[in-house]
Amino acid sequence: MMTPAPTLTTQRLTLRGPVASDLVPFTGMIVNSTRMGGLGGNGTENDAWGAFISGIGHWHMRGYGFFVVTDTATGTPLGRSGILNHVGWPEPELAYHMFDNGEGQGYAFEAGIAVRNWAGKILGLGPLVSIIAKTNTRSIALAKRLGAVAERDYVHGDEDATIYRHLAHDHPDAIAQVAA
Amino acid sequence: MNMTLQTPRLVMRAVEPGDWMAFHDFMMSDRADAFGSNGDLGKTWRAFASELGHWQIFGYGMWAVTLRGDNDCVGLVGPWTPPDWPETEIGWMMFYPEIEGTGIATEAADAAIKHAYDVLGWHTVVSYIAHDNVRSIRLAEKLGATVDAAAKGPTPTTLVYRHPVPKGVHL
Repeated sequence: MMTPAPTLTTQRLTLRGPVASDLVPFTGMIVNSTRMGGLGGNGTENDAWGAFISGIGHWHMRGYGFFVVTDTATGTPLGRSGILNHVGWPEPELAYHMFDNGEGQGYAFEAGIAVRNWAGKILGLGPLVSIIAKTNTRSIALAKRLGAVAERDYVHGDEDATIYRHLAHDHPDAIAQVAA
Repeated sequence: MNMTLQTPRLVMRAVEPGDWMAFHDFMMSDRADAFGSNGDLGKTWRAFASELGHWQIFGYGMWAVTLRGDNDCVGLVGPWTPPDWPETEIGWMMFYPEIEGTGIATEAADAAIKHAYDVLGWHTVVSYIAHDNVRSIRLAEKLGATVDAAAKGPTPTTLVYRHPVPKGVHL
C-alpha cells in the first residue's frame, strides 16, 4: 500500500492511489505532451520523477492527494485527478491533468465529479478551488462544465491564474452530476 | 515500512510525516545552502514529500537518523536515486550543528553504505557533493571516499566521491 488512497469508481473509471508503474505514463505526459503549456511547460524525466514521488508523499502528509484515473475495463492509466494542497497553496485544490490517451473523452469531467464528491462527503472539504492559468482554456472549460465560477485573479508562481470556485458537493447541481 | 538499521548509538528508520518540521527548519536555514530547496518553502515541502514518496515507491530511501531512545530525526542519510543521476548515491544532511564532530554522521553513513551493498544489492556507492561544501567533503574523506575525477556527476561542477567497498562485502 503506497498511499492511504481509497478507490473511487464512476461509470467508466476507477480512481486509485498511485502505483510505481504509473511513473511511465506520467513521465510521458510531463516530457512529451504538447498540452503542458497550462502547467508550466514540459519538464525533464527527473522533474516527472520528483513530481510523482512528492505526489505520493502528499498523500502521507495530507491524507489526500492525486488519484490515478484508470479505465475500469482495461486498467489503463488515463491521467490524474485529486486534491492538491502543497505548502503555499491558498487552499485545497481540485486539480486534474489527463495523459494524451485520456484526453477528449470526458474522463476528466467524470473523475472531477467523483473527486469533488469524495472530498466533500468524506474529507469535509469544499467548496473547492481550482487554480488555473489564464492561458489554459481547456482546463477552464472543464471547470465551468463542472459548475465552477471564476472568483478572483491569482498569481501562481510566476503565472497569471484565475481561482475558480467549485460547487459544494451537496449542491443540487453537483448531486445531479454525480447521478448522471 | 518497519525496516530499521541499528548502530551502537543510532536507530535509522524510514522518513515519517512527523519529521517535516525538523527537515523544514534545516532546509530553510543557511546550513542547507548546498541544497536546491534551501530557503524556498514550496520547494522544501515538495522535497520532503519526495523523501516520503521515495520510500514508498522504491521500498528504500534516505534514512531518518535518530539517537537511540529518541524518535526525533536529526538528519537524513542514505540512498537517493533520481533517474538522471549516473550512479547509486548515498547522500546526507545533518540538521544540527551539535551533531558535528560527534561521529554520528559517519556512523549513519557507514550503516547506510553497508545496507546498500548487502540488502539493496548495489555494486558501487558514490556521494555527489557540491565542490564548495567543505563539511560534506570532510565527511566523505572520513568515510574513506576519494574523488573519482573520471566519473560523471549530475552537474559538471559536482564532485563525485566514490566509497570503498565495506569490509566483509563480497561483490
